[in-house]
Amino acid sequence: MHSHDFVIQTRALSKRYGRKLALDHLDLAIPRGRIHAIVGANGAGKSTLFRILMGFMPPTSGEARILGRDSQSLTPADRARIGFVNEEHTLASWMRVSQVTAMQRHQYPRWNQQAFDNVIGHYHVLPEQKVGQLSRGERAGFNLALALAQGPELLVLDEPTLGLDVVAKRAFLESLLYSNAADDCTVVYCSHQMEEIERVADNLIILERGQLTHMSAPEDFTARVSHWVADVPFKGPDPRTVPGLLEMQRLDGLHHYLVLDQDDGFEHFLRACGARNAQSMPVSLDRAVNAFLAKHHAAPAAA
Amino acid sequence: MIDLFKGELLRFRLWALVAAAIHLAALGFLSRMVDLAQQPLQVYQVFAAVYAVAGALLGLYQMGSYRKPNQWLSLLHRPLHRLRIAAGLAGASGLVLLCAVAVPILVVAAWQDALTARVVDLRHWLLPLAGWLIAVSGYLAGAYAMVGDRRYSFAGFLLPNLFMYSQASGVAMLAVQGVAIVFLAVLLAIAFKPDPTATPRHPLALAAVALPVQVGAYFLAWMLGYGVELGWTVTGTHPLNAPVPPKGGTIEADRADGKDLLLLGLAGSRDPQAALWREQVALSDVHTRYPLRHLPTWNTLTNPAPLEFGDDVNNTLLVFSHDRARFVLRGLLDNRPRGELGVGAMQAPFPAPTLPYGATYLFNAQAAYQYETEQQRFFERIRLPAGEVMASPPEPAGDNILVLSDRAAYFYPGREAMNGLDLLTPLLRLPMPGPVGQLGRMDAIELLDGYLVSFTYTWGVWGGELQQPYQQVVHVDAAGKVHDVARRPIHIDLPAAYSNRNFWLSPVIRALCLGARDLFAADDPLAATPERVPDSVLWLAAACGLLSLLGALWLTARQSHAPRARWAWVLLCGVVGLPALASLWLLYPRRERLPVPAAQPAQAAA
Repeated sequence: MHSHDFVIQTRALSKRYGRKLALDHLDLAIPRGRIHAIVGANGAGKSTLFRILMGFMPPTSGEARILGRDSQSLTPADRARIGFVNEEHTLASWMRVSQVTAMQRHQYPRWNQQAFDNVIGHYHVLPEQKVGQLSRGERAGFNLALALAQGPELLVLDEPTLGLDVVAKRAFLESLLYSNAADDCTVVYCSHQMEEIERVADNLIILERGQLTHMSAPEDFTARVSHWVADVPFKGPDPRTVPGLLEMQRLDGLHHYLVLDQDDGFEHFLRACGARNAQSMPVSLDRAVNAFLAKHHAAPAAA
Repeated sequence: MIDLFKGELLRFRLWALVAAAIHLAALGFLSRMVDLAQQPLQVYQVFAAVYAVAGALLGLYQMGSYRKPNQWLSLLHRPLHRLRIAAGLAGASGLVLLCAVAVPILVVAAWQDALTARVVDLRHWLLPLAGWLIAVSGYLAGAYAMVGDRRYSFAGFLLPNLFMYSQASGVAMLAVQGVAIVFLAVLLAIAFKPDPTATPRHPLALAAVALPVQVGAYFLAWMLGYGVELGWTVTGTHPLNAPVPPKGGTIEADRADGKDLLLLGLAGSRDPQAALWREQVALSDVHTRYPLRHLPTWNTLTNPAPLEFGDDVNNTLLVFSHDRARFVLRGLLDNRPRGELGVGAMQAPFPAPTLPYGATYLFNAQAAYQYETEQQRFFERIRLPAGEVMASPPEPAGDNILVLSDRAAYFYPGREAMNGLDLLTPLLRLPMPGPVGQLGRMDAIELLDGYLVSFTYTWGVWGGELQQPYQQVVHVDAAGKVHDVARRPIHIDLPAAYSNRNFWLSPVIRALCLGARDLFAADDPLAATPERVPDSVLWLAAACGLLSLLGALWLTARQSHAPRARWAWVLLCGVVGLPALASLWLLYPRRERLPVPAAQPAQAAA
């Protein structure tokens, strides 16, 4: 693939804050089109990555390109091609909805009024309302409408539903999914909400400690993680010997294992460890990702 | 840009209107009480400080609200050049300040001009502009402080402080304010980018950012010197706090009463009459004069003191008008205009802005006048020779009148002064032995055959501008013959390293600060040129330069610099000294080092 086939490309991208590495020689290439979800625990480097990609922070080393441009030398025209929605939905609270809309319409040459109307139609937002008077959900929807109406080639959504209630989250996702404008651009969706990821994402990107640890379709990822329930008398095998172990629990006398990249051979392993019975079950994306991320979560040395 | 400009106007329009209303109410109330056009300098300084603080608060608040990471990203991530975004925000704030600061002053000036008999000159019409420029400079300093890297961006606040020390006046002062605003706008433009903490790469931009940081470091180090004084005070060794000042020092000379000082001056004299004069000093009245440091100049925006005085006999207030070069009269009881008064019967214009002193006397740079209430006329009583300016207005010294110019002391006949209104001719002229800008005081006693006069040159020792203070005692006889009686060197009570710290900390920054102080200023005949510092201080400055150079070598090795930039910094630190080293440390973070890269997990695949 050529470099212009990727909306985001990083090579050995690193960022260091004092003694801590926020991004650790990250190599990431996100292809054009579709919705890509980036997930990671807090501190995985998502926000740092976005700030570097938008040109608001220099990398310590490495290279970051967005829409084929060096992220540190984006022009105003480049910025017109990139929409960005953050979790705070920062908009001028003192202005009316109509005034903010008029300002954006004037600034963005590829303004798509129909896209704006389509999205804002999901919300009960009046033009004469001040932005500061909108509910958090309405502000999120208004922000999404503005971003999509800009006609971006790449839309970055950085935890856009953070702090929204269930109804507002659903409205936000529906307005995104049913917008034709979203079909015309690549969407990078950063979230901790796995049910949202499961619903919208075509591609799942997992960042851990500043490194790329997984990238595939969500269903491919869930296929890598399997849940085994085994009836093992006594203690069961030493966790350190369990291959691909992500999570282990003992409930009602049964051992539950979440394991990565294990096929039917894992059943033989369990039986070899004394399991009288072993059974595999499918895993939800939420559980699979949580177990995957929790495996490398920092813990006290004594734990 | 225009959208952001309108948006910010919308944001602050109510604030602007409320501030303008409060400002107008305050000015209106004060105008009912006093004539705001005729206030002493300190009043204008208070107003200027309020405008600057208001502007700074606006800048800090406005940019502070955008400076959080997400807000900053939302603001700058749009298809507009960053400078157009900055111009939209700053332009709106400039208009807000115009409304809140300049318009109320303009309204009050217009009211005073149209509906009262008070004097409103061209210089007063410039006050709204000056107030606005001060507020804008405060705003830009506040905006830059908030947008830029907070390790050093607060140094921008030094620029509005220049107005306190600037020697320029009138339109020249507006030009100084304009220069400060342009400089601050450049600083804001440099910092107003997606990553405001990034050190600029262009050498000129870097120089612009580094300059206030270096001046700030210089002032901070200079101010720390007062900590040394505090230490001396605590340990009881400060000469200023000693019950008896050190013998033969400047503190003793400044504090001594006239008799003691004359006796100190005569102590080493070999003049045959010295013993007789010592006796006469003990029996005589000593007339002490302290020279003026500033004179009012044409079209200055402020007044060193109110240019007005009252004629209680005729119930008239006389106010000097710069535009008319005459005094404008108005009734004290009815506030109605009562015409103008110039000099003499011809109502000639005054040659310079004229200050009242005493009950009916006035003076300006070139002459002194007496106001005669019965005739309601100004009489010129004393005129200095061409090329000389007034350093101390006429006052009695024994039977005669003593006047100081910047070059000489003049004695005029007291009896003629009291009994007539004619122009006086000096009896005696006594040339000054040194520049008036270094003269701390002059003390004189009247003798039977003239005057014994002491000139004490101590002005400027605290700032290192005078290095060799001394006292000179001179005798002038009745015929005007002058001869030196004694010259006594006076030592400086504080160590040279302390009083000259403004030099050795950085001779370059000191020269720059003096240049900024005198920017666009007319030559001041009452000021003296700073003297050359002692060799020991020069060596100290060189040692600091060397120390700074070595420090820069060490520091730049731990920062990220291109080779040429690194050596430029090392050289700059050697030339400028410790303030440049401080700026180098503040401007550049320590180099970020990466550990050896770890292998990416095998599962990660595109």
